[in-house]
Amino acid sequence: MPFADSRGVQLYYEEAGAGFPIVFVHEFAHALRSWEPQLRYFSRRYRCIAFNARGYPPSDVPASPSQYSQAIATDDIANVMRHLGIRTAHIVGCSMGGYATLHFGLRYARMARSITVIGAGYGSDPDKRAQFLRDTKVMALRFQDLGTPEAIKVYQVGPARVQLQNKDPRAFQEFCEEFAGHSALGSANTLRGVQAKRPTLYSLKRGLSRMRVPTHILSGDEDNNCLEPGIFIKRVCPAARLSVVPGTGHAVNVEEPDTFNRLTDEFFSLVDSGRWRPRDSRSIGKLTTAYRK
Amino acid sequence: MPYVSSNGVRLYYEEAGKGMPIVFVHEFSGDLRSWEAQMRHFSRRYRCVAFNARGYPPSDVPASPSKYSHVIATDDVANVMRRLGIGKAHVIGCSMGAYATLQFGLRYPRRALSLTAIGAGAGSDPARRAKFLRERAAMDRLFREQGMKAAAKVLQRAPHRVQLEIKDPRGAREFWEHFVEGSALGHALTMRGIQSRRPTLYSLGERFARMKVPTHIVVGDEDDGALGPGLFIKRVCPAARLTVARATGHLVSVEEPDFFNRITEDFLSLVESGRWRPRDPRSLNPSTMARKA
Repeated sequence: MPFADSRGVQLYYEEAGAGFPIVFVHEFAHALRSWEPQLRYFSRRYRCIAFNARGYPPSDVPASPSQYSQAIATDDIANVMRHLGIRTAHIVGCSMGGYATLHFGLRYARMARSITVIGAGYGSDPDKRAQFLRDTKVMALRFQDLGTPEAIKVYQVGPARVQLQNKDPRAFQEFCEEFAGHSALGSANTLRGVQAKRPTLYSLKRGLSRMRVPTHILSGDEDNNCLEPGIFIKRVCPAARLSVVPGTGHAVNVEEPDTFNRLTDEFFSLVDSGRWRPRDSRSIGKLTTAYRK
Repeated sequence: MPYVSSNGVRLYYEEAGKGMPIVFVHEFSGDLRSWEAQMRHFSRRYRCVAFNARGYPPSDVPASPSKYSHVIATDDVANVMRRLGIGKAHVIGCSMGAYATLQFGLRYPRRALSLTAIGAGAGSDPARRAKFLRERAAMDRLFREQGMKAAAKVLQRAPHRVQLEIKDPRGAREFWEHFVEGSALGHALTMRGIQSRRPTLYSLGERFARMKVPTHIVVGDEDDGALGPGLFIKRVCPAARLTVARATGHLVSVEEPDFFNRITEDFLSLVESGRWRPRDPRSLNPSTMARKA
């Protein structure tokens, strides 16, 4: 099995296709398998790489929570790329992986030709911050005490997951089965080290306002914790464009693979053809009709 | 030329295709010609009807301000349908027409198969309400005193309209050529009677919460005045789904006709197959991870 070394931690990855590289970064409740519809679609024209984060077997599961953080998760992307000799790539991440992708754009701008960020924002809303931290703590304890299959029973039918259950029961079934196989220790450590400690998106305002990497933010219209953060990024970052997908929850790429692939393909084409442009400053006026006396 | 009469005012309309009816309701700076890309696409499977609002020749331009209001604009949609023997239709509107479309859903729910509202909400934001009204008053004067060409110069530079010029100069040229053919009096009266006087979308929350007509809200990610209202309707109305179109301004159907036609086709298919469902109440659980709140 192929592994990339990231500071002594072995990260499992898979590759498909040839061409300009795309690196896929998965979310908390999924592993690289969740990118299957993207790997099959984009490998026709791109070199696709998906890897499992630390804590997600077959990747190593470090026992110490100090081995897990937002910064480390971001470095892991860079180290996978280095291992494969990739200097620059399109980076695509979902949720937790969306956060890592956004940080990658901020910290490794030269290694990102573009970034695609799906469903990022959990824990950012100041009004819900305390609850998010409580929820995260409780979930970490559940993984530790009950084991993964029991721990995820409430999580998998969370408010932004029921959409998948309603619209695509087969995909939902697969999601639950895969999720149940995750490492309880790895999941608990990820919750404590990455999710609970990462900075909110709002605190990244300064960096985002200067970031020049072409950015595509996507959110489901029922993913309540990601809607305002998405609009926030769109408004502060001239390099960002925002798509909201109707009747959709958290993992847009899993719930609506066709829509996601189409939107992403269009975005890559624009960037690859050199025709992508940042937001026109004339579109940021305060007046609603441009009327000046 | 085909006309229908609505309370004594003649409204010009065009028809294309056969099948289940769709009625298109245009925005302030467009007329029925703004729907050309939709008429050509949807007439393959639907009976498409587009009409010019009162104040937009060849429709009549009543000289009295009392002949223009959001209530009258909504009744005009119903009267066009009645005169053409259409019991129920999918109603699709943009901006001012989207507002009329949403009002149609509130007041004539049995006659709407579905509602599609593009870029609705200008003037709803309480913080910018006063400025919005000042600008409308100034535009009203501009139409009266300087005419269509002067107004076009101002409107073309609006922050949520420059996108069309940036991405599709040919489309933009045609759009504004059509605009200057319009009636300055009609636009001034529409500005005064409808835009400045209609209740804001936020004030209609309780009614949207009870509305059951399948609804698709479509907003460009650079249409600042419509993003907040779009999210608002998605959240208060269980029948609503929201699409945000990336790198797009006010006129999603004009700026991105292919994209708009595709997402609308998906939406109409869902409704017609009887598989459309309102939002699952489980998705409204305020917990971030499905713990009981």
